[in-house]
Amino acid sequence: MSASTTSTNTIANNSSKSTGYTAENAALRTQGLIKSFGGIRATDDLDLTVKQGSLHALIGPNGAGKTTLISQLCGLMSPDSGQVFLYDQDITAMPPAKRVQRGLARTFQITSVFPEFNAQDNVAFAAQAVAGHSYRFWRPVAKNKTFQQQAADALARVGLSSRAAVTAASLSHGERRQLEIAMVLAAQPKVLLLDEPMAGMGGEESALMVELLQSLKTEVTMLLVEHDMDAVFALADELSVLVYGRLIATGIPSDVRSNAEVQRAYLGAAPA
Amino acid sequence: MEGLSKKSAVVGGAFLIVLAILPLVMFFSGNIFLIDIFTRLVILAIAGTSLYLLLGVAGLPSFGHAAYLGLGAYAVGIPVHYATMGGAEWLASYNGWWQFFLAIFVSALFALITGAISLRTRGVHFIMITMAFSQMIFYALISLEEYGADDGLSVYASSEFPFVMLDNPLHLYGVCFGSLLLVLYIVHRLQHSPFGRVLQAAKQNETRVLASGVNPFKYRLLAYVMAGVIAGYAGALMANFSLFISPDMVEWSRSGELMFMVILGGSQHILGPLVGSSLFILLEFVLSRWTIYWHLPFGIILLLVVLFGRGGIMGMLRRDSQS
Repeated sequence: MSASTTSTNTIANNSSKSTGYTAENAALRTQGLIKSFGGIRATDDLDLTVKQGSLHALIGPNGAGKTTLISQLCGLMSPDSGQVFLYDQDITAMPPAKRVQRGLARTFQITSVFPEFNAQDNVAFAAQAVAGHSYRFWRPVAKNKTFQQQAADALARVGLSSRAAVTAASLSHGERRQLEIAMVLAAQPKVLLLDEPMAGMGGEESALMVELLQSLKTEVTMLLVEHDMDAVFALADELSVLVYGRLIATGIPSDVRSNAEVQRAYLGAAPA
Repeated sequence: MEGLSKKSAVVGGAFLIVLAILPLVMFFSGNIFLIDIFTRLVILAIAGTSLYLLLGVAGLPSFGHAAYLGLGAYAVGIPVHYATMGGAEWLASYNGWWQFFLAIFVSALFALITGAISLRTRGVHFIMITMAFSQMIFYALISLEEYGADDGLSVYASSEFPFVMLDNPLHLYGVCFGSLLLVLYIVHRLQHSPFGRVLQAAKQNETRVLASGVNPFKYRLLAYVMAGVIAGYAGALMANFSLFISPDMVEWSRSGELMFMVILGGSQHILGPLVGSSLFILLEFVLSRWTIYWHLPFGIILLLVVLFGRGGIMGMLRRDSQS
């Protein structure tokens, strides 16, 4: 696909860097982000703005570079060039652990919890991890009321209170997804990166997750990568479409949905 | 690590009680020779518990832990050597405080330097690099003619402390057993503290720890230094026990034995290394009386435990009581 078609078909202010995005009310922003693997550009000169307080969905076919983008945003991967801003602070060179301390948390496409800890301990660790350093050697975590309370609150929030004492490895797939959300909530992030939270979930579990994310929208800015279109259209305030590392469209969901190129590239020929 | 079964706690506790009582019985019934076996057992249990902190809590399979036993032992032996033979005035001393300080300091320093390098690797590479560092100590000791090279070095006098006479077998045993209790308590507190939680979490899922906002490297390095210090302390006790030290203490197979003890007893239970070292000593004692080829049945038993008793003795008890 040529660069000209890309820009002409772009809906929102995705056309040029010179006009650029206003940094105003941008919670998370990338500028000219490039990441290549060999000859393949997984992220190709990407400008993305996630507005403060919004839920911004990112969709795109497999191999479009969604997870690569998330990895650069959270710092597990560093871009070849370009910048990442969190509330106008350049965090491009900041290591992942520091970014979390600054309020940028993520979930993983493949559920990532601590399998040997029970649910409560998983979340208590997440609370401990953002509460400053852990060079504390004597008092048991189990007796730390702050961490335990934060953990209990977060578990209640995602509806896992009754499973608090169950080892994470024994939880169902859907429950582990919920647990991971509880863990990021306990970190009290300002911006949350969700990498396919509905992946592998059944209809009922997905519906619960949509409900949960809906309830979070008022308190945290989210960037949601998801294949489940029903979920995306139910939740998103803004929607971006990523194809071959490039944003081909950004805008409100209904506009993006009717965009011709998006339909061709991703949603399939027949509009919903 | 949470929810330890009652059974394994009871068994571990029973081992401790036996260790507290039996040597006294033996001493007063005149079997002083047997107290030596228990002293060695307790010292190995201390070293094993320090390895548990790495292997069991932090998931770091150090294959060079015997290096610290050697460093600790030579930190006692070398000052005694100079104090007896003359030379190196700044180092020479019979003073136990000085010797034990040296043991801890040298171990900490060695752990800090080698840990900073080793901990950048994972898995098999970590095993190999820790082994390589301990072999460096082994070859350094072998080449030091001044300290007897591979013939080793006699320790002519025990470390001098006020009130306790380490040349008295009962005193020495008391100090070793007290040290074991203290080390067990310290490691127990450590593993349930926020610090220990970071180690445990990083063992299970390092990426998640990073994504939670913690870089585990420094925590692991600190654990590595702590384990080195405890093992170095055990080495200083070992020098007082055997009164003869040699590079043989540091050889890689000694590190392997330590690892066996931890795995045999159970690397997921704090009393596992104690149980493991007890069985190790017992098997060695029984089998070596039976045949000079005792390493063969010994190896087969170890293999069986590792293959079929995943989680070691303590792990078997735990599963048993859960079913």
